Amino acid sequence: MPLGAVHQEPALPVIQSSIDPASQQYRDNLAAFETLNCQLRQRQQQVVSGGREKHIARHLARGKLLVRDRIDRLLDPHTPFLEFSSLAAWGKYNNEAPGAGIVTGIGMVCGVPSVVIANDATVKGGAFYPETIRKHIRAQEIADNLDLPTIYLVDAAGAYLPLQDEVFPDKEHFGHSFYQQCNMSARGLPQIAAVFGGCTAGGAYIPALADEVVMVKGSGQIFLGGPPIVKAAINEIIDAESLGGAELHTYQSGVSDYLAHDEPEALAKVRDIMAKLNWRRTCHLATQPAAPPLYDAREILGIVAHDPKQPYDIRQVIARLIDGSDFQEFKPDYGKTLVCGTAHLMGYPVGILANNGVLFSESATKGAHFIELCEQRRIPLLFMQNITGFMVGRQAEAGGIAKHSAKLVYAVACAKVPRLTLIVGGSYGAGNYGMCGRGFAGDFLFAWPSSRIATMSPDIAVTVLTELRRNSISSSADQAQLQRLVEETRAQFETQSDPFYATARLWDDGLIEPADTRNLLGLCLALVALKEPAAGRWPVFRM
Amino acid sequence: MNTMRRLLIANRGEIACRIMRSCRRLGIETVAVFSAADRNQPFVAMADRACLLGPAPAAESYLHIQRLLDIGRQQQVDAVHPGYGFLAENSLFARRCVEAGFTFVGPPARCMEQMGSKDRARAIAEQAGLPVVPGYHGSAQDDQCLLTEAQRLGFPLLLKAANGGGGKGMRPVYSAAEFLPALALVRQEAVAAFGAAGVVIEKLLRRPRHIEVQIAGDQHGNRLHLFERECSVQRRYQKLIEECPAAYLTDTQRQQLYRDALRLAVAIDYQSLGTMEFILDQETGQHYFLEMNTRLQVEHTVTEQVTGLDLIELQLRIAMGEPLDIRQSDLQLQGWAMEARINAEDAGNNFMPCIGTIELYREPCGVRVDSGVARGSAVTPWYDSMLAKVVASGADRGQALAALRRALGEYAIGGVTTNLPFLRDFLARPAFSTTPLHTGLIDEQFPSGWQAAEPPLSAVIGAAVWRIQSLEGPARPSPSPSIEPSQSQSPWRTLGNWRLLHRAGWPGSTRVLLSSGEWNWELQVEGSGPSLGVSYRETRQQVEIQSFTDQAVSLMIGDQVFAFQLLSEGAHLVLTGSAGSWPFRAVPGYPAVAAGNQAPSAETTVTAPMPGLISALPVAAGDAVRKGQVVAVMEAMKLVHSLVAPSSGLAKLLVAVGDTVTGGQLLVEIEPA
Repeated sequence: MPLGAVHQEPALPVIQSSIDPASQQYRDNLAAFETLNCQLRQRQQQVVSGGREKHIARHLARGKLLVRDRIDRLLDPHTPFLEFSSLAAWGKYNNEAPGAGIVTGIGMVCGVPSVVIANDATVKGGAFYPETIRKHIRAQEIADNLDLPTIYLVDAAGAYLPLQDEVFPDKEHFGHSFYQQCNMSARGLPQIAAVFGGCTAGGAYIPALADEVVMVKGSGQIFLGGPPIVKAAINEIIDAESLGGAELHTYQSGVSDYLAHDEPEALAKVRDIMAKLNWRRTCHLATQPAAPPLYDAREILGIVAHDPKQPYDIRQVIARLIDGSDFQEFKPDYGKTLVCGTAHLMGYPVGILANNGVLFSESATKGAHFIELCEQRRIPLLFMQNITGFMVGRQAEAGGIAKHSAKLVYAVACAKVPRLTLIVGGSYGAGNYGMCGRGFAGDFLFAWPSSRIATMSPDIAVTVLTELRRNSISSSADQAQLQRLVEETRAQFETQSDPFYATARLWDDGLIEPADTRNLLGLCLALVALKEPAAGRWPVFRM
Repeated sequence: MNTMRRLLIANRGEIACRIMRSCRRLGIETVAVFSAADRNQPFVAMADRACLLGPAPAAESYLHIQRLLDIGRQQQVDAVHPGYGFLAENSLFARRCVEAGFTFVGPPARCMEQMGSKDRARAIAEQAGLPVVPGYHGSAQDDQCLLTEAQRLGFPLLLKAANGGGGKGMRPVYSAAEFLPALALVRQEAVAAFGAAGVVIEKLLRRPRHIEVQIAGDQHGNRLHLFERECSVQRRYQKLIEECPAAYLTDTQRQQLYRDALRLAVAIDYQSLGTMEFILDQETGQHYFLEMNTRLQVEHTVTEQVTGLDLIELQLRIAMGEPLDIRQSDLQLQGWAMEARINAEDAGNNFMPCIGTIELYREPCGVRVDSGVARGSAVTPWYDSMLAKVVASGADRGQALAALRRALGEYAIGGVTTNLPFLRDFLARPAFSTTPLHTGLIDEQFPSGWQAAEPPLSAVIGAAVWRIQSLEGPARPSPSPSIEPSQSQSPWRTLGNWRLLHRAGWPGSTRVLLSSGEWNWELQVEGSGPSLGVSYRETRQQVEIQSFTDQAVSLMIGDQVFAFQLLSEGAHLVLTGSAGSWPFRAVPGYPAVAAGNQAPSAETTVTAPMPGLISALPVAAGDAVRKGQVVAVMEAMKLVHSLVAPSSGLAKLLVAVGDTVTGGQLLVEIEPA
């Protein structure tokens, strides 16, 4: 090297911004997305406090803390909370069960990331609706998957009896939460309960099956049968506090381990327990100092097309989420409708697969190859879904798209690295499978309010169903019947592919705004980084 | 002439450090002695050698003459410097040092003896022609005689216990009618405090000033005065602020003071540094001899600042027998110096001494600070509460005062209550800067005692932001045990209160508990990043953090900008702004609740913990019992179980000695008395 020559660092593969914030398209997109965000915030606001001011006032008058204040006090001061499915049950039961009466999420308690499952007694006394139990079990599933302790802040009236058939009997119903609780404890994952209200019958088993229990004097009650049942069954007349209050259970029955005189003390006792868990997990990812993206995340709103038929470059979205907008794109010149590449997000390595059009065979095999690479290197995967499906037609079929797309599905299904999914746009048909939809049991799945999820889009559904009807041999359809079919089909698909419809049913772990996405993904990556990596079994197959 | 190679310093704290600084410059090795309570004090580390003297009580350490001499011999020292306080004016110690062959850095023992008793010193001074406060010091003590003497002197008068001191057994009398009742009270106090009923009567001076003259005399008959000092600002009869020279003195008054001081020095052939204390009657301008201190004074620093002399060096040279090599005419006052004593004391509680550990410590720059403490120093109840002295200089009194005030504003001490807030407040008062001082000035300014002002909300918010920032990000003090031990940048640490529903009514909030002195605050801090909502009581303020480092924070609260300097360690913070400086302590938000469950408070029964035999019933039926008193003794499983009353009341026995009882059986009931 000649004197004075300097070794040149290779230029970072930084994504260049290509947006035009002055364009009509950008402004239309921005306005449309802002409307979606507003709708999301309004509905979340309803979940936090809307429509039940009287119940909240009565709850506070009893000297009880609101569920979110309990969580604020439980968590380490000034640390985040990663909440799941805040809009569960949205639009169901006349919106009488906002959030399904339960708050779940992950927060730090004495330095230990823990799943918190907290009933909201201001919502129907904390009764368990079908979505309540789904949310409860999903939170336990996350704890089980990530090896986290679970803290139950119990304040629940038990099953919502009018819907007992949708809460109690099935595999994924109430019983399963106890099954999970037992087996997580057996696996060494602490199960800690604090009892703030009544726990009757089945509800009694949440504390009864917990490793350690704190009860609040005067309000926490545990019994298999409450005073009315006791009177009916054995004609014993007794008040609730004498039957199952904190003093009885702490001093006599031993069902509870600690008595707290008020709610703050109960939360402090849970923290005392958590502080001495002998808990340590290591980060298994090679992290680097976090750096902000080069471009403003708020610009995403103007990039994402409000018309699903309008294509846009998903790299412009990626550039606004990852550290330094620095993206090492894999096979950039092959199978271009699936963008694959490695990056860091808040310092954590991540392998990103993002749709940039319909999936062809090349895109599918490229995706499978890339998953193999991440698997070998133990890099967590992030799927960014905006997919109408795999390519159809004679050419595609002749090219073997069925088997090539299957390779992507294999790889997604069997990858042992952590998998995060973010639905940014459409999540239709087999594309949902190839991009780690809910059925593929990823670690976390979140969606933007711009997302749509269904077997197919309303337009295609109308075409398909009217065609089927026309060709039906059982009866011939007149024009009016066909028109009604068109309207019904379109209405059905539009309603059911709405992101609020999806999140209400826990098809995802929550709806989020683009501006919150980087924080959220960072928190998720920090958690999956603690998972013990599984050993790979195969070399990387070129496809 | 003696040489001095190694000096034993029979003292501690700042004065030990001060002596060592001069010795270091003069090439004299130092031997520090320390008590068990002082192991970790800076003066121990600073000395060339340091020896453990004894346990914490002064009588067994710094006042223990034999041990000091033993260490001196063992360490082969040439000389002993007593500092001030402790044995500095103990003539026996001076003699024993000389007998042991050490040079005593101080006057001959005879001078100490002459000046040691107030009565004797007064008599010698009177004889030397010094004015003394008119009064009666006679032995006739009957009521009539004392009343006659009082009337002869004229009112107002001061009645004092003859053996008294420190303000005890002292009472002003303003008229003849009050005299006899006051006499009875003073006698009572005198007997109680000093064991003797004798009283003296002195003319009461109103608004007197305390002025003293520093003198130096060598072993060759040379004597100098080193000007005067004003020490009128006192609390609890102890000096707090001293300055050199004294303001509001005429040249004639000054020359009279110097002349009288030197006259007394000649009269007792004084050989060392010493101080003649006078009180000055502001109304007449007349000064009176009060007493002489035969040692170095705490406030020698102000004299050093305006004369350029090193008084410790001077003292050492005189002790070595060197003649004074300066003449009176060489000495010139240059500028003005003012000293404030920083004490661990609660000015809001009648200046009561305080103890604790200095968690935070930062001395001001640009002024002289003579201190004996550092971060981590313990302030124990064993010794004087003075931590340091701040000495500021200037061309005139105004400049010196301005420099002192600035320095006190920057002085940060956390963990121990100090008089810094008081000094800052007091020195800002016009009464200090614009009128002659007097010994009652503090009482006059604060007739019902000084009260600290509550820190302004902006400072409390500044402290809350510091607390939040110290919880956020890489500077987080206690690394979370389980999230990536190697990764301080985890979003779980850097995102603050972030909530997914932060735009929808759940900003996430952190309770911040702070205390400062008698005040406590509970604030709710909402949000994360540079924009926070801070709620205190009913008010919510929007706070923008403009900048934050370990040393400084700048905040926009509403539309006003506030900048504060920060000094923090763990939970302790000293926050300094243009409006003042305040120590804060972050209180844990979630206090650990004591382990174990308390029994229900209304418990009134004693039951058998397991099956067994009642072996004794120490109380009889109907006896009144106290909570915790043993009311039954059981034998079970080869062990004796003493069962205690869960509450106080009357015992009702339900079993008898020899009974076999089952587990859970009711044995004794406590009925309300």
